Amino acid sequence: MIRIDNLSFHYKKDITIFDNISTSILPGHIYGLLGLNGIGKTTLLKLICGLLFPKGGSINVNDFTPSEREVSFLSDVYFVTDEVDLPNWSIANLITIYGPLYPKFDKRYFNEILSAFQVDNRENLNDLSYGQRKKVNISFALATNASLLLMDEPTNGLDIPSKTQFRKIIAKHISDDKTIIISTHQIRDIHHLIDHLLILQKHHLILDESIYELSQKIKFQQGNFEDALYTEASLNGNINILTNPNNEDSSFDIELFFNAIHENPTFLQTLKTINTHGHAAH
Amino acid sequence: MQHISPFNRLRLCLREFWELNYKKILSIPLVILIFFLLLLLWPGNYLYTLIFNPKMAESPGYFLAAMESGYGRARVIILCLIPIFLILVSNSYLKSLKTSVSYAVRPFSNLDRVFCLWIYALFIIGLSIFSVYLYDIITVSVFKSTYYDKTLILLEEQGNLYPKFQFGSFFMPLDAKIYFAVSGIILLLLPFYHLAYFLFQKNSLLWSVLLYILIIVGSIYIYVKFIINYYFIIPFHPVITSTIYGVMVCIVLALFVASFKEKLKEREV
Repeated sequence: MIRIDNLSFHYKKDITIFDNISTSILPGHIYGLLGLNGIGKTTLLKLICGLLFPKGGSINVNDFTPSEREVSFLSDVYFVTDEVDLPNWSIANLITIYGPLYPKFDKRYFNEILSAFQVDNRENLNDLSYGQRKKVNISFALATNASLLLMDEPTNGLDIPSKTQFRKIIAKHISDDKTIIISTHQIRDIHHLIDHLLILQKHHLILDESIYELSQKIKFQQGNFEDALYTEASLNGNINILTNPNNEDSSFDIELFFNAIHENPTFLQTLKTINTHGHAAH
Repeated sequence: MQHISPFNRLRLCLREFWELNYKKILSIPLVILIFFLLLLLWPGNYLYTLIFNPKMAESPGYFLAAMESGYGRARVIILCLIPIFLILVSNSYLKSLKTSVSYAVRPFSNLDRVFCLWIYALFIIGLSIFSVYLYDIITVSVFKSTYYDKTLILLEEQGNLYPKFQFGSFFMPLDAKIYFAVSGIILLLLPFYHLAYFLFQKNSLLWSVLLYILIIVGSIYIYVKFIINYYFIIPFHPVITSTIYGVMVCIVLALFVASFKEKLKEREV
């Protein structure tokens, strides 16, 4: 479990990145970390894995303080960065040298994922393209079986079949003792995976809610509705976000939802007044 | 969850360093050999003259002068390559430790990184010195077997029956003291270089050298002004004095290494 209490952070004193952020991130879920460019998504991931130190407040990950970077903590965390900065070794070398550092590393599982991504495990990393290197990194990350997996734009550079594979593998990988936090702009690649949303805006965590809870409050529907909370025009007509008083099932459109928060400042306030049965709270 | 033992972790840390740098490390003996050959074939040196001006090389005066001081102090210059090797090998590693996310989150302890850097530094110094020593012994042996008798005969003709060859002669290998002195100086500078890499954002090498010089100048100033000038300074036995200085140097070096480890701990990537 990750507990973030009153987290504040800045790179320069006059430029605040986070101001008193608090949340609890539970195991067994895939969290989607969303926000505009430069809002601090990667910074938050770095703070969680101890690469950056909080200026105020605290972070606790499975009873470890990340900034202390204890070996036991680091061996149970893996951070998949957007840019792959793995050394130019053969894949076999990567496994031999870095694999034993992670107590739950599973070589067979690594080879399985790699072959699903159609990457030959006899290759050298410097002979691979950016996308292929990324696949190796993702495979390694999953094979470590780390309790906490942080992924920054994991689908960047992956080809279309690999994105499908990625979704399948992640869906199979998650278990009750694992937490995955994915920060991405390419939400359509993974929106069926995410079961909890974290949205950053203006130095604050403005949304921290599960997709299930949100689905009970709102629904997504095509057509023209006067009482829509948010409407966006598309080639197939208008797509709307509506209240969900009858608890109807609809496919949760994270991209539309994010746009609604970003474009309509009152949307979030309205959302907070709706209870889990889609009725406005009194 | 079965964690890896600290010894195995250090072994993997060393292996990581090796995989990243083995080409550079293995090329050290070759580079030293090239420098040795360059030195032997440098214009004005005996072998150069023998190839390009054999008549002059045959003249007894030139021959004797070349044999007695053929190397000059040039061999010591080759030893000065060792800090360059160390910087070339450790620079990219230090840079990765400072800036790379994947290095910073890899489950190695800071102590593993410090040990790794020092073990390889000692290995590189050892390898370089061994290479210089080996090539030096080989060239001296070759010169001795080829020219020693002829030199002795020519010296005898000049009335020098008991010749003593000095430092710089083709017949005298480098003194062990020089190897120790060079290694000592490098080992004194190395912890400061490691620390400086994390202290300064840019031009760490330049700043570390400047700061090091400042520390030395400051120490000498304090020593001369406040210690030497006091006539009542307790006269220790020279062995005790040198031991005290040795311990003090070791303490300062240990502080540098400890500061480097702390800097590794405090770094943000």
